[in-house]
Amino acid sequence: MKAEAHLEVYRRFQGRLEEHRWRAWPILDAGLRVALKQRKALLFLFAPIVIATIVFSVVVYAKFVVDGLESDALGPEGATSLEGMAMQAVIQAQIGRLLEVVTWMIEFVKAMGFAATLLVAWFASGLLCEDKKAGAHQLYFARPITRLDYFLGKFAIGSFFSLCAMLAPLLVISTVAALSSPEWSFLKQEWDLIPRAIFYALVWTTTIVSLVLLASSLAPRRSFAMIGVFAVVLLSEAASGLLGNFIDPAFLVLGIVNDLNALCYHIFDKPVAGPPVPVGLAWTGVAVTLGLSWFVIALRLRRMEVVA
Amino acid sequence: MPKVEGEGEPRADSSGSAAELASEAEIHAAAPAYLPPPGPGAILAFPPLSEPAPVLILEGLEKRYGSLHALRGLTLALPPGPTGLLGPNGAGKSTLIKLLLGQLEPSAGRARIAGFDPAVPAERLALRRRIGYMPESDCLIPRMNAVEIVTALGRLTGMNVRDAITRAHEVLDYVGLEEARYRGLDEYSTGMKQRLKLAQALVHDPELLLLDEPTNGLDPKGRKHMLELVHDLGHNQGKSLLLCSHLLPDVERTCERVIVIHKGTIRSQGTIHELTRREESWVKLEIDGDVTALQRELTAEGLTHEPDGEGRLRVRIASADGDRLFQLAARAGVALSELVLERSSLEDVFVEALAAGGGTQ
Repeated sequence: MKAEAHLEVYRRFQGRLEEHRWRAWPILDAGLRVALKQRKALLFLFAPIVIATIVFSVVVYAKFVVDGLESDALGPEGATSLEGMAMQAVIQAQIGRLLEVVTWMIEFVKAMGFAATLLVAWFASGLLCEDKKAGAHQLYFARPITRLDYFLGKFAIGSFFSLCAMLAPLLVISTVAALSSPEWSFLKQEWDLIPRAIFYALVWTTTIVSLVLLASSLAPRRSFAMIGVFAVVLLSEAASGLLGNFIDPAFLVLGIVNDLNALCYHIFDKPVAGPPVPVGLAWTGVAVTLGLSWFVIALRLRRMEVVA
Repeated sequence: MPKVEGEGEPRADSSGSAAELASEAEIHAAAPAYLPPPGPGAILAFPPLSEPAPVLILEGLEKRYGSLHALRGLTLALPPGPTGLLGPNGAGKSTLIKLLLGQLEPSAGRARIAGFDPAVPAERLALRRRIGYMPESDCLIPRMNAVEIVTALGRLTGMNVRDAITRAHEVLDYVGLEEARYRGLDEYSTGMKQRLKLAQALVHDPELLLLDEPTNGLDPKGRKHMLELVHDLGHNQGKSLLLCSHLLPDVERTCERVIVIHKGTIRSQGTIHELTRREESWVKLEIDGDVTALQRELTAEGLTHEPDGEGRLRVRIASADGDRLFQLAARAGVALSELVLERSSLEDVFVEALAAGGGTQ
């Protein structure tokens, strides 16, 4: 007689189904677990950001070390001797080159914009189109979640990587500045840089993640969505540059990177370097980008829910 | 239903003294809260056994897409149990399922599942906790293995992490994917994917299962396994299920009731037993004695009859006239050793329902 190897038994669920307030959380959790499986991509895409963070942190650290050297060289009586005055002149020249922490933050944002966009595009461009292609949306929308919950879950996944690429380095630089500044002078005098950095990182994240999800909602495949994101960013930049330089500088607002750069200078309260985009127009440009993205995503999600 | 302490556990000594038996007060203390309080004759106050409450109620449910009338005022009350939803392509089955899940808004009328209206946003989410949906087409979450998919969907339904993981393993065991649970989905066969889809629908132990073509694309072995699971859920596990299929044998094998839907209307509904019963049908008789004597009696009574080629006789009679055959057999001096009613098949019912012009709601 053949032995029964396995007996399938249906067991009743004895626990409770809770009504979560933050229903997008399981989507974020599952999405991050899946994304974190891509270790090579994580290593490759985070490497430039980590290296840049270390370099910029070292520069900020060096600035404060030189600041400290200057104070030590002057001594308690100040620069009264010839040697002291010569030392002071050398150090001040160094400091002039090192500039302020805020300048390094802005430089970091500008230098790492492409790498951060690439990172977000890599991990978020498949969030909607891969679900659609695999039919996973049918499983999600049969669960007790709304389309908004689904969108928020996916948005949160993209935001996680965006904040890791943009906010975390700015906070590391701020922390290095705070710890290396003499007598916590950074925190006492430039504490507002931290909320400004957080605010800018949120604006950047919201804009870029929305753009990536827009591309993901429209594209049939992840690779097409990634190409779409960079096509929109680069083409809008090229078009705005041409129109802005040859017709009217106001056309610079059409470039999303121009808008974000203008907002970066505005949020960090620094004079704009390069062609000026009026702050009001830059805000309008970002708002229109967000509005359009969310409108199209809402339509596409509605379609995903209804059409199997 | 809440578990009552001691329910289902036999007493150590069923023939014990009166003191050992549970008192009436104890019985009431253990009874669920909705039962009436104990009093004189309280046992008689228990609700009488009656028809179970419908699990699904449709009241004039309509759905229009512009000028296209996908559903035309469906009305029905579906009792618990396994039910097949039959209909050709474009009949409105998928539209009905989307309305039941609250993914579409009805143009008119309403549906109620376990007391919840899927068109009301506040009730929709509560309703989806009580429904398990197995879609027809491929639908798996990319880059996840089976355990991760079922766990994630369990958590989305409201389970905590520990329950969701435990439950994922239980339902994957149940559908026979216990050894493949951590394998990549690209290594899954169609049958395994179908069973995974069933597992995710079962993870939260729903009251009602909506199964859309569960045997689609399966080989005979996979189909047999899937039908066994569906049959077990509907008949042994007490699940109500609505099985959409165009494969009539699947429905016949797993369901007790059938709804035939065509061009947005319900053409036929009822238990398979009722629907396949006919006013007049053929009866196959095995006879001990002189067959020709019985044939003479049948002819004299004006009944149509013919030999079936295997030594038996087929007779066409009205369903209510079974006793008449025994009387005729007695008159002919023969005994009927076997009498088998030839029922019409579900296919006949389906074809007739589609051929019928109007809805029979």
